[in-house]
Amino acid sequence: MLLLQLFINGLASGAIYALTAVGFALIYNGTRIFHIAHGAVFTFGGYALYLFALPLGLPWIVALPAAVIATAAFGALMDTLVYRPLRKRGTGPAGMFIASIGALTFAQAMYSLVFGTDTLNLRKGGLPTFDVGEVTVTAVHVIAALVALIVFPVLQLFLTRTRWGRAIRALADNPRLAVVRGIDAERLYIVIFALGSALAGLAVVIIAFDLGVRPDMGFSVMFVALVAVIVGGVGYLPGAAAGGFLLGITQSLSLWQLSGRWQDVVVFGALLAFLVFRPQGIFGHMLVTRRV
Amino acid sequence: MEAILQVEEISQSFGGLRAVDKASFSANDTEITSLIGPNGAGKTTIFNIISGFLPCESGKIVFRGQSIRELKPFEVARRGIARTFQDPRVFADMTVLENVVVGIRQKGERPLWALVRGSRVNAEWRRARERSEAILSTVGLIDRAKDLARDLSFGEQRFLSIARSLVGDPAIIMMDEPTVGLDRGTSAKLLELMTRLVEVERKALLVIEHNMDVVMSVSAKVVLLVQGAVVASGTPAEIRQNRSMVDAYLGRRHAAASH
Amino acid sequence: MDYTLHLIVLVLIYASLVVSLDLLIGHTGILSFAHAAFYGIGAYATASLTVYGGWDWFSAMVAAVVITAAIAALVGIPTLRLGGDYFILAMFGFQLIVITLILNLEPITNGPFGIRNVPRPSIGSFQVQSGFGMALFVAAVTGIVFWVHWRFARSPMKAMLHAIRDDETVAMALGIDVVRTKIVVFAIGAGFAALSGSLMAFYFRYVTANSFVLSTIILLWAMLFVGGSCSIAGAIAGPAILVLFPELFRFVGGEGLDIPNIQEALYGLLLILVMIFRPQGLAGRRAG
Repeated sequence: MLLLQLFINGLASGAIYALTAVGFALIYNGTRIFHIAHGAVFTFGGYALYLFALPLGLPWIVALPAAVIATAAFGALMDTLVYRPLRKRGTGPAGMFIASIGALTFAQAMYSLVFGTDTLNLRKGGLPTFDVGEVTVTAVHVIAALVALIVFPVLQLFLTRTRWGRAIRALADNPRLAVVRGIDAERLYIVIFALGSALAGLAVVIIAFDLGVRPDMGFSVMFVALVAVIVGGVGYLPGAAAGGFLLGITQSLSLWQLSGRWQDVVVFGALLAFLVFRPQGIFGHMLVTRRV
Repeated sequence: MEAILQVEEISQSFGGLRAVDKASFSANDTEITSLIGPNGAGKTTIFNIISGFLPCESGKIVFRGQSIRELKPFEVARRGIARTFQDPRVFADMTVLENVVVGIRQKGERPLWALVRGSRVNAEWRRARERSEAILSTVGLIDRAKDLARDLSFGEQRFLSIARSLVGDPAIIMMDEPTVGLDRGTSAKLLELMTRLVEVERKALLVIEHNMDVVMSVSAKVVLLVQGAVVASGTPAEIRQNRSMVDAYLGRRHAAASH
Repeated sequence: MDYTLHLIVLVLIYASLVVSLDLLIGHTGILSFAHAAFYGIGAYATASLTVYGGWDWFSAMVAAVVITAAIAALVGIPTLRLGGDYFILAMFGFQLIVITLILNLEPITNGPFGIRNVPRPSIGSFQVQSGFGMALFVAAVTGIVFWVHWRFARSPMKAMLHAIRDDETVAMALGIDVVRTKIVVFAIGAGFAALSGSLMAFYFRYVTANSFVLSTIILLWAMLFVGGSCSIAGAIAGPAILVLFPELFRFVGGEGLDIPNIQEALYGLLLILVMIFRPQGLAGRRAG
């Protein structure tokens, strides 16, 4: 049945959006930086996987985690090279955003220059699939589901049970108070960026397997991820994940009636609807960025 | 003296925390009313509620006989309630004069017309400037009119923030901890200004203060707020008689504070 | 000679875009990511009305400005009352879907093929023919745009917008209707962007979606911050540098080099470096 197939597909793409969205939200909540370059970090993971798997010929079991780690490192590097100097300068959020745009643009252009603008494929031939009733389930569907099922609870545990996790949440709730209490913000920023980028890395390795790697692949994923953060309620990580799944499914189901060209419009429509009627998202959270 | 601003049983919670708990008090016209209480008692929250920056779940806020509970912040300001903030929050990159001019509402406020009308704009600009200069004279900053706001001392910035609030010719000015961070001399000048605003300009003042000397010397009424609720209200003399209650709530912290 | 003229016209059109973008970003603090989209809407409206609708150039230009300003107001009303980050995201999305709409609403936009043969402006029976004549036309309109912005910079309006930019809360406490002002300014900025779009349509006589993609808005931002915000001189310097500088590549020999991506990489790098080392740009009057 077509709708069911679309739904399953939507779950898989939803998992990608959810991972990316939570990664972004983690960084945004923790650092208040609108890190739009997250999309470029996402893409970096794809190219890292490509490099590890094909020219370097590492076995998948090594290449995949290595790519995720590389993505985490790249995100942390971006903080060190771009955001930290700006923090030292006392740059406001607008300046941070502008620099993030610069980083995104620069990275994407570099990917094009180094790897070319064509899609690089990571697999030869089709994906392993199997049928469940009338629905075709691919390996990507399965992996996406597994990753989501494992990663999110693990992340939740990390944030609530470990010292680092609690420090991150303290920093997110009240940056000034956290610093006064002795939290080393700079070190924590690196951890936050690494963690958020690792989530993007997980997302990209799944999708790279299916669709290959392109310089602008982070782009539309990033847009949906951002809308997911709003839909779920800014400041609420589980909301971002839920938003990701919701949008993935909605986008996929929309294919039932609309051509694929209108996918972005569907997501934008969802964004506008929420901004007009419920900016605090489904779960009712708005990050208070300014205290009166 | 008539009550110009009345707050009746307002309440507001954040998360599970009850920040304001059925608070009721009033401020009279041409008088100084002081709002005192320990840190975190909800004083600034009440200011934010009155000026429209925060909602309140229940209760009434009446200004000059009309409810202002549902108004947006700029509407509250236009009705005649001005406020200052704990930090002076001056516009650092503008001159002192520009800081004050900003609040003056041009007739009609149509940006395109202003550009096209040419000389009319200049006449309005001149009027706005004259009014601003008059206000700066009132607060004693007229000599600094051309200086950048960032170059002012903290005390001068405080006075500038008060000047800014006078621009709309408000009936009541809510001041959030006006003397904090000021040395004795500047504090005294501020008290003088406050008294002048009330006695000469006939304005009402609602003041959040921690400095008991200030509170007791100029207030006509004192309202004690603890954990979001009004615990006592009366003249300074009455409150002083309630010394034990005041001390219990403020005492140890007050003694420890190096005001 | 012709080519130099062409470059000058490009600089002028970009300068007119940057100065209106400066009104939004530099003076009011509205981080508009949608400026290129409004530029595109203006260009397409002008082209579509003249080529498909048979309108005369002047009415088409005016209609393009009005339509775009109206669209901006519609988009701005729900989004400008929320915090900056929500707005940025909404504009980002708006930019994306405008491209989608341009590419897919074939009856009015001719899809990916663009609209050709936009007529030249004319007064009565006299129609501008030469490249030089068109350059004068562009210069004249750009001059008017600059004059308006120059007047604005000397008006009390500027202080009010700066107040909104610097501290919205205090602005509200002073009685300024921040949301309404932002919507009005946003619509005006979009209108000017549409005017630049009209100019572009008349000068090149051909509009495609390619001119209004994301890299265009990034280029505009780079021009704004390199030249310096809150500055008329900066609004000319930025485009001048970023248009003329890549021309040097031609002499260095650009065979086989992916010039557009090199340019993109440079713009991105420039944005970062400017923010770190010189946020006020070349001629700007305040740090980002």
